[in-house]
Amino acid sequence: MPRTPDTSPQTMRVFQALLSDPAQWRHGYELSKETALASGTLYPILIRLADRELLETRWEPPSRPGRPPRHAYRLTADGAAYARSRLADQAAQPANRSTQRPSLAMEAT
Amino acid sequence: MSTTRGAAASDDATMTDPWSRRAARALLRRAVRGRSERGSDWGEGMLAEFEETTGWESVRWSMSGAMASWRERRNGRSLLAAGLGALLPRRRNARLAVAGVLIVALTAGFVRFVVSPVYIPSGSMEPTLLIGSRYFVDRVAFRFTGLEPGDIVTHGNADRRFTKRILGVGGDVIDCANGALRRNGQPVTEPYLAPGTVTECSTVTVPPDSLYLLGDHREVSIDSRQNGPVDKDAVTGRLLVRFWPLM
Repeated sequence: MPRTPDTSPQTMRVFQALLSDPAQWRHGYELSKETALASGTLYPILIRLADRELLETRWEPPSRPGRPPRHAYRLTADGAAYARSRLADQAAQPANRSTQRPSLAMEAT
Repeated sequence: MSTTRGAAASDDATMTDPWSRRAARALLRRAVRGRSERGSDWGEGMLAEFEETTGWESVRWSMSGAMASWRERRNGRSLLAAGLGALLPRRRNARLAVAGVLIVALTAGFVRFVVSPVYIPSGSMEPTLLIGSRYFVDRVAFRFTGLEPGDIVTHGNADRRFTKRILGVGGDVIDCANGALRRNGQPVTEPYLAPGTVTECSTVTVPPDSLYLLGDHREVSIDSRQNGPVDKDAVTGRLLVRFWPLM
């Protein structure tokens, strides 16, 4: 488990996907394709972000008649700023300590 | 409008999905809703997206989402699943009990139906049954639930087996007019036929305890038009659902 919250590679992919079109409301299926995350991985991440008010949600009409309404997601202003800062942190430190063996990490410091 | 069994345009779209897709949808629904009519917003959102999936995606979407729902529920949260009504009670013993009941129920159901597979070697039922596809056949239950026009049945023995659709039962008067089959004077609506199919036949009254059988591929099928109605006792099974190909 990463030491700081929201630094897992999966969460980073979700941030990137949402930031690729920050003003647009996105659906779960397309986010799953863009992040290459399974539904069971993607949704808990979205839920956590929404709990912290970094993501807003709304219901949208179905894509075709006879289908159910679709749930749509968008980063809030705070969420977009947070996502950008997290991605910037990650870009600044490509060698994340948690991906290295402890001895190497100690040498690096 | 007379109705025959088989996919009709007015059916709910889910009824014409392959069984694997229907099962995947049912699994996800159960995980998200439990015994409630509706799950949480997130769960319902995940269910709505299921309808956007195609092919094997649907199975992956469903299994991944269902596992996440159950994980959340086990952790005491109900973010993905319904707040009330769990699929499986949290205590381990109760879960085993439910699993045991399910196994007994499924086994009992199988034994009752005694399902066996059948391979479709010919094109006489095209486009409904394609060459090379395989179907599960109910060998027992139809003897209790009866056979109706529209059912697809197998008859004959291992050496010469036929798979045809019932178009008439004992007492029906079968004839053809304007390229369409008529039962008791009423034209039969046959949405499963290939467009432009013409059916020609001679008039026949189906004897009691007999069945008038036709292959959906009217041009090539040898059936009751040539060989007359078939004795009901000769029926060996009723087609249930395709298991190959899966999609």
